[in-house]
Amino acid sequence: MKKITDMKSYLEVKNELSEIKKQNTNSKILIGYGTCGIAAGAGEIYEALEESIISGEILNCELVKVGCVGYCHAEPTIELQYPDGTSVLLGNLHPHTVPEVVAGYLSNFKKKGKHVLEKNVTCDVTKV
Amino acid sequence: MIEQVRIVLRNSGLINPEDIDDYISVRGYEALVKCLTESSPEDIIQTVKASGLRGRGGGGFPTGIKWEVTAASESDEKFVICNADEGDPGAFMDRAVLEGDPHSVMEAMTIAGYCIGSSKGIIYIRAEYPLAIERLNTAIAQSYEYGFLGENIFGTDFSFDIELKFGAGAFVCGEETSLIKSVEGKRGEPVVKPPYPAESGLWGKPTLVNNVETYANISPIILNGAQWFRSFGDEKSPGTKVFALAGKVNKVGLVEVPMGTTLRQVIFEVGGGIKNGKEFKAVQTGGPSGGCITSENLDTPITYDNLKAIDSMMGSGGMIVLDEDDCMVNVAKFYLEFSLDESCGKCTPCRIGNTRLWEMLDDITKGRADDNTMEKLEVLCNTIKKSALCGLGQASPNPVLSTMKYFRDEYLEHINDKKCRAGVCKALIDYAINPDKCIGCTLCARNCPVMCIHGEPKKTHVIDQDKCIKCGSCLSSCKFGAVYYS
Amino acid sequence: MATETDTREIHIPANLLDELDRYIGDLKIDLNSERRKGYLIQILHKAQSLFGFLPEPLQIIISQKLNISHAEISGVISFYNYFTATPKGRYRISVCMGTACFVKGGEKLLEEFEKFLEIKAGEVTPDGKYSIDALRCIGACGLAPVVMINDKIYGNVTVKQVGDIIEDCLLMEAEA
Repeated sequence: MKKITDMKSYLEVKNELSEIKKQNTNSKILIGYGTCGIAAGAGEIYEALEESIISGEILNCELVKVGCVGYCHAEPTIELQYPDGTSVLLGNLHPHTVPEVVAGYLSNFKKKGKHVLEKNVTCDVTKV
Repeated sequence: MIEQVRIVLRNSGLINPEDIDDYISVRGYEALVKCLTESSPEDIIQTVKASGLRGRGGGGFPTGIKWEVTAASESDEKFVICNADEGDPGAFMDRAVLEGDPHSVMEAMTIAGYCIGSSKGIIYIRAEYPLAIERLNTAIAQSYEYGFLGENIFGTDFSFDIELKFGAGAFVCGEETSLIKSVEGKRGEPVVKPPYPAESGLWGKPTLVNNVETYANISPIILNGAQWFRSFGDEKSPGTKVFALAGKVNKVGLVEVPMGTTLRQVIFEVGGGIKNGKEFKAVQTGGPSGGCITSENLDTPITYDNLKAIDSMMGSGGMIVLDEDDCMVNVAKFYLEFSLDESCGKCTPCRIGNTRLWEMLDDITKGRADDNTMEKLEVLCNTIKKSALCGLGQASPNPVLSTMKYFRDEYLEHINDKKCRAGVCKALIDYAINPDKCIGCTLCARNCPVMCIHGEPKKTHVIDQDKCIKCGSCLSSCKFGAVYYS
Repeated sequence: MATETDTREIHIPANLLDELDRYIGDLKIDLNSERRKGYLIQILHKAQSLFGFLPEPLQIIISQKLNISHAEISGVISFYNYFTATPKGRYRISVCMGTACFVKGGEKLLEEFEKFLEIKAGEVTPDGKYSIDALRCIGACGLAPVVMINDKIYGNVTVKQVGDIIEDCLLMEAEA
C-alpha cells in the first residue's frame, strides 16, 4: 500500500479510487451489517444473495457489508446502488424471497415498490 | 415533511467500514491531510470554535473551548480520549457510527491530537459492542498502512497512535472522570471537578475527552467550514443531532435531523407516529438523567437549552416514546432502579438517597404510600440533586421530578385511589371478566398459567382472585374484549 | 454475588493459563510503572473469556503477575458488572433491561425465563447449563425486547417464544 505523505499523494490515491469506482459498471448491493441487522437476519440475506450471484440468478453486481442506515424497524435492509449513481434503499426483506426481489429491482433499475424505504440516501449537502 | 440531514451518519450504511479505500473515496482523511499540511493547530481550533459545535454526549459543552483549554495546558504528555461507553439505555447512535464509519472518528481524534499537542489516542468502548470493536481494530490497522497513524505523519513531526480500551459494564464510566479512572485500571469512581481533565486527566496529564458523535462532526466542519455547519440547526445549537428513536413508535431507528426540529416532527413525521394507533403519552429523553416530555411540549424545537427548560435534557440522544399503556410512576421507578444499580456507592446522597427514593416509589406502585409521600419524595429529590458528587447522582432524581411535575394526577391516583390507569402496577389492579361480553370460548382459561379461571364452555367465565397472579395473559388472549382490569 | 466464594473445587486448566501468560507477556508491561494498572481491565477481559469467570485463585495469579494487590483486583471485579467471580451457565441467558426493552415487556420475559428454568436472575441451574442475567442495554433497541444467549441476539421476543429459545440451546448442545 502506498504511504500518503502530503496533499498531492493523497489526491492521487483518492482520484485513482474514484476512477476505479466510476469505471465499475456493476451495481452494488450494500447489506446493512450492523448488530441490529445481523440479529434481524442480515447473515441469511447475505448468504442467499451470494448464492444467487454464484448461480447467475443475479448478474453484474457486487455484495458489500456495510454499517447501519438507521432503519431498524425495517431490518434487514439493503441498499442497491445502480451504475448511474442513483440508489434505492429496501427493507423488510426475507432470505427466501430476497434474490427474486433484488433481481426484479436490478432488471430495470427500479425505484418503486413495496420494499422501498428511501431513494438516493446520499444527500448532496453532506456528501462533503 | 421534515427531511433527515446526514452529517454524522454521512457514510454509515453507504461505505464498507472494513475497507479504508471506500472511506478515502468519499474524501475520507482529506480533512486530516489538510490540517497537517496546511493549517496550524490554532486555526483549526478557531474553526471548531466558530462552528459552535457542542458536545454530543449530553452536556453540550462547546467542543472548541474544550480543545482550546486542553491545548493551552502545559505538559510533556497529553491524551485524546473518545468516549464510546454508550451506556444510556435506549441509545445506540454511537454504536451505529463505530460499526458503520469507524474511520470518521479516528480521523477526528488524530486532528484533535494535532491541535492539542498529543500523540496518544484512546477509544474507550463498551465490551458489549464486539462488532464495533472488531471494525475499529481493522480500521486502525489499515490506517497505519497508509500512514494516517504512526510516526511522523505525512513527514511532519506529529505522531499519533490510537489504542482501544474496554469498558466492563459500568454506566458511571460515561462520566469523564470515572472513564479516566477506568482507563487507569481502577474502579470507575468519579472524582470532584475541578481540576478538569483538560488540566489533569489520565495519569494526571491534560486529557481531551469527546464523545463519538462529536468527533464524527469534525471532518465535515473542516472541509466545509464553520459557516456551512452553522447553516444547519439553531444559533446556540448548530448542526444536527442523531436520535435513537425507540419504544412505542412505528418507525424505530436512528434519525439525524437539524437541531431545532420539533419533537412532534421527529416522532410523528420521521417516526411515523405511535404503534397500533394508541395514544401518545410522553417521550423520554436524556435517559436516566433526563425527563419525560408530554404532548403539550411536543412542538418545542429540540435544542440543548429548550429541553432543559422543560425539565428534560438532550442527553446522548435516546428518545423513548411511551403510550397510554405505560405507567409513569413505574417508568420513574425503572430509571431510578437503573441509577441505583449503577451508583458506584462512593457518595451517600446517591447510594442511600436513591435507595430511599426507590422505596418510596415502590410503596406508591404497591399501594402502600400515604399523604406525605409526595412531599418527602420532592424534598429528597432536591437534596440529592444538590449534594451528590457526580453527574450520575445529581441527575438521578430527574426522571422522578419530571414525572411528578407533569403526571402529578397519576401519582395521586396511585396514592389516594390505589389505582393504576395503565394497568401496569399489579398490586393495584384486579382482572375481571365482563359477563355481558364473555361468550365462554375458554381461551383465557386455557392460557392462564395458574389455572385460576373457571367456567364451562359457552358459559361466562370467572377469575379466582385469590389465585390470580395478575400476569395479564387472559387480557391479551381474549378476542371479545371481555377481560378488563379495575 | 461477586464476593461469595464458590465452594466447588476450582480447577484452572494449565493450557489456558499458558495462553493467559502469553497474552500478558505480549503486552510488555513495565512492572515498576504505576501505569501497569492500565492493563488490568483488558487482562481481566481476556481471563474471563478464557475461563468463563474469575475465581479467586485466578485473581491471585493475576495479582502476582501484575504486581497489583489482590484486594485491588477483587475491588475492580466487583465494581464492573461484566466481570463475575462465580461461574455462569454454559448458556448465558441475558434479558435486556434497557428502556426500550423494558417498555416493550422485557420484565415479563425475564419473569418467564425465571419461571421456566426455576432460577432467579443472577443464578445458575444446578446442572450448570443455564444462567439468567438482566442485562443493561445492548443497543439493539430497534428489535426490542431483546434476549441474548451467549453472543447470539434474539429480537422481538415474546413470552411464548421463551420455550423455543431454550429448545434452541438444547439443539446447540446436541450439535456441539
